[in-house]
This record gives sequence, C-alpha cells and structure tokens, in this order.
Amino acid sequence: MWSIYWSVVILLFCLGIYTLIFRHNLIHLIIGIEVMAKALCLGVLVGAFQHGGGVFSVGQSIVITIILIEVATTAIALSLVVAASRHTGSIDIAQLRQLKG
Amino acid sequence: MIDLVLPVAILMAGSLLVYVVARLTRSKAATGVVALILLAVSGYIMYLLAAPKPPLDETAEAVQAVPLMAVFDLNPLAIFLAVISLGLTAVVALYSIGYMQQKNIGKYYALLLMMTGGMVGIALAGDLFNLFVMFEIMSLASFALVAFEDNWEPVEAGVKYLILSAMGSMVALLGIVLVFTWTGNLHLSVLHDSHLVPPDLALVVAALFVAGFGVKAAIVPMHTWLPDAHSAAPSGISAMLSGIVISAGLITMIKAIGVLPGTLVGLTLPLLAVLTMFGGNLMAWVQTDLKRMLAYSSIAHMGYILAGVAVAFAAPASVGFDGMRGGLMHIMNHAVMKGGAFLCAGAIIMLVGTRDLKQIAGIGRKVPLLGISFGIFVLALAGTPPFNGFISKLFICKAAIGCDNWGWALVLIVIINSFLSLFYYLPALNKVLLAREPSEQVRNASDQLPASVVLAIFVLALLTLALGIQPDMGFGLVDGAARSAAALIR
Repeated sequence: MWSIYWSVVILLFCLGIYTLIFRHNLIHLIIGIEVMAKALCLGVLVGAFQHGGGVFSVGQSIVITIILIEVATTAIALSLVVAASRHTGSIDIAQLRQLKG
Repeated sequence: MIDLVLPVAILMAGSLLVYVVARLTRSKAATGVVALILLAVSGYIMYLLAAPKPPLDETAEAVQAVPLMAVFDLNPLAIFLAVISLGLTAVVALYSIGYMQQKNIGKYYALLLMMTGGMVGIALAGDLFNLFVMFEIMSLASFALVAFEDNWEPVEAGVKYLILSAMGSMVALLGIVLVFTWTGNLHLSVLHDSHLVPPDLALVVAALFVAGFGVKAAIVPMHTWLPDAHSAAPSGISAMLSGIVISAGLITMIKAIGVLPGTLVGLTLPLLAVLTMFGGNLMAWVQTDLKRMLAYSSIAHMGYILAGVAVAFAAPASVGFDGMRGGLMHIMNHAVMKGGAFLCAGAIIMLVGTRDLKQIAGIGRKVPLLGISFGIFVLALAGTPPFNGFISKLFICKAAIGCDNWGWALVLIVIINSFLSLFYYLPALNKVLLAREPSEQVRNASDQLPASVVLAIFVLALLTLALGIQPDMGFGLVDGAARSAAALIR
C-alpha cells in the first residue's frame, strides 16, 4: 500500500529532473522545479502519516512551508523569464548563451 | 531572556523598514545608515546572547520535551558565521552608499538585509528543516540581487543561477525528507547523538546533501553558475556572494551532514576538493575580465576550504579539530580578502567604466590608495607570507599532514595550486598597480572615489594586514567554532 505512494513520489521527482535536463523552454524548467517540490510535499505527507501523532502535524506545517518557498522561487523565476524575454526576444534557454569561459 | 530568533527577526523586519525609509527619504545615505544600524543592533543581540550564562537549573531543563522542529541553537560555529556575515554585510552596506545608483536603492538594501538574515538563520538553525528554510531565504534574496541591474548579462546569469540553485535545493530537500520519513525527527543534535539513520540510507542522504548544498558551495562539477553570477552582480553583491554566501553553503552542508556521523569518511570530499582547486585555478588563468578572474579564484579558494574540511571528515577523531580550524580560518580570511578584492574591482569599474584587464592598466598609479589595497588583497589571495591567506593555508596543510594516508598528497596539491594561482594574480597585479603606460581609458578616467567606498576598502585592507601579522586576533572566534564543528561530525 505505502509502496504505491512512494512510487508516485519517486516518479514525480524523476519527472521533474527529466524536465530540467531535457527541456529548453524556461517556463518548462520552472514547472519542472515545481513538480519536484510537489513530489517532496507528497513524500513529507506520506512519511509523516506513517509516523502519525505529533510527527504528522509537524509534517503538515513542513508542507505548507515548502509550498511557500516554492511560490517565492517561482515568482522570482518568472520575473527573470520576463526580463530575459525582453532582452533576447525568446524564452529558450539556448538563447541565453552569451556568457562564456 | 532574549530569544534566539531575535537577531534573524530584526534583519527580516529591518528589510521592510529599510525599504520604507528609502521611499520616504529618497536618500542613499539615510537608507545605508539605517541598514548599518539594523546590522549593529542584530550584532549586539548576538553578542548579548553569546555572553556566558549561569548554568541552568537542571530540573527545569529535564522537564522540557525535545521539540521536533523550529529549533534555534547557539554554539560557537553559529557565532562564527553570524559575526562574519554581519561584519561583511556592514562593510558592503557602507560601500554601497557610494557605489549604487539612487534608483531602486530601497530594494537593494532590503534584499541585502534579507540575505544576511538568511545567513544568520543558517548559523542559528537547530533542525534540518529550519536550516533548509534559512538557506532558501538566503538563496532567494541572492537570486534577485544577482539580476539586480536590468541588462542582458545579469538576467542571463540570474536565470542560470536560479535554475541550478533551485535544482540543488530540491535535491538537498529530498535528503531531508528521507531523514524525516525514516526517523520522524529533524533535530540536529538529537539525530547526531542517536544514530537513528541506518548506514546505507545515511550514505544516500549524505550524497544528496553534498550534491544539493554543493551547488551553493560551488564544488567543482556544480560550479558553473558562479563565474556568471559573480561577475554580473553589482560589485558589493559580488563581494557578499564570494566572501560569505558560498561559505555559508558549505557550512550548511557541514551542519546537515552532521546528522549522519561517520558517513563520509572516504575519498569523496578530498577528491572534490582537488577538482575544485584545479578547476578554479586553471580556469582563472585564461580570463581577461577582472571580476570573472576573481570569481574563478573563489572556486579555487572553496577548494582550499574544502580540503581542510575533507581532512576533518576523513579522520574526525585525530585531525577533526585541526582540519576544521584550517577550513574555518580560511573562510574568515577569504571573506576579508576576496570581499576586499571585489570591492576594489567595483571601485575600478566606477572610475574606468570597464573590467577588461587590458583597459584598466595603470589605474593603481593614478589612484595609489586603491592600487595598494588591491595589491594587498591579491597578494593575500595568492598566499604570500605577511598576509592572512598564507596563515590559513598553512593551517590547512598542517592538518592534512596529520592525516595518515593521503594527507601528504593533499598538501602537495595545495602547494602546487598556490603556485598556479600566482600565474594569474601577478599579471593582474602588474596591470593594475605597476603598469607604467596607462591605457587610454585610464588616462581619461577621474580619480575621485566616494568617501564611503574608500572607507570600506580601507577597513578590509587593514583587516587583511592585521589578521596576517597578528593571526591570534581571529583565534578566539575560530577555535571555538572549529571545536563545535569537529564535535558536529564526530
């Protein structure tokens, strides 16, 4: 039973890593980071639920904090994407190649 | 009774206050002074907290249950990181009064204070998740600060930095989640003492921590964001990033791995240290951009620091204290000298308007104080004897010799790298300080620097000299921190 939940956690996390490695669109990369974070939220909840009691309530507050951090990261990331699209005219990470060496 | 959360809370609330002050007064100096006052208040509270207390009533302590999270803990390692980050931020805040433009100054100081708050939080955090949250606060503020100027270069560097760093944070968070699900506990010292994490899981978690927090610490396979971010950021922020943020990443890593005692004893960390030293020094060799060269030299210096830490991890019982002392002392000295070098680079950019090494030739003869300070910082970075960089490299080598198996090889590599680094520090010094023929840009440049910029550089140059000539000044801070860090990994 628990292994189903854990499989979903691992699947989502690997999906996020796959997105970050193989996608070129900046929005896709941000979604990849979000997916990884949500996988970890699920992981915290499942783990905390297995322990039960006080650990479960701690787990819930951890999840809310992770979501908060993710929202802040996404906000900054999206503002950078807007700036990047203004400067390069595209949201392809392959266009952000001017810094070298 | 002062709560331990107060130094962090003052900086976080202060970042709002500074923004309001900037909007109301529209004055750079007023904003900077308010930021400095807030830093001083936070530092004073740290000082009050660190003062020795009468022993607690034991019965009262026994009644308290050990909480799972939201724990703050004060030990000498925390005081060490807090003092260095508050001190360097104060110098940078002073410098920025003269260096930054009037536009957006409120946002700049707000983010600067928030970043420092994150670092003081990392220092004080007593459980794994708190450590992660503080680490993320520091990271978020630094993303925004790297991309502070709306230009293609900072934006590109910021995007790279954000994506890599967020990925690293998620990997580290996976490690924390694994520890939490397995043990149902997050408290650093409880986990350290109880050995709740089984050895094979501990190996996986330690690898995740090294990979995740190692992105921020710029350990070599994960270093690619650093040269872009450090050269694109405003110079005061480059000094912060290089001087203390990457070291804070390393201290986060040490604190996190502390919950898995006896896990990382193999050759992983020494090999990473060797890679980091060579990678940084060899790449710095080919740079033509002053700030980019200094950024690569930061990677090399993280390698030296990691060499000391790796020695401590390899044999915590015999050389744990010596290795940590070398590593932490180099963190302190690197903050002073690399911070100063980046501030000098910023002053050169203010005067000449470029950071190309060819075009700044002769600036040191035109503005002697700047040239001499830059010379002091660069010679200290190269590890020349009367300056502080030499002392801490000596301590790292001394610790490595005490490590039986491969210590001598590490010493040899540190010495080879010190020589390698001369091949790019000396040409830079030659260009800036000694070149007789000034370039056209330098001939047209003004030689007037704002007083706050001069004062900030002067303070750091004085500290570089003082810590080199009289190294026992720093021992009080470093020895205690090294003792508690060595206890953390034993």
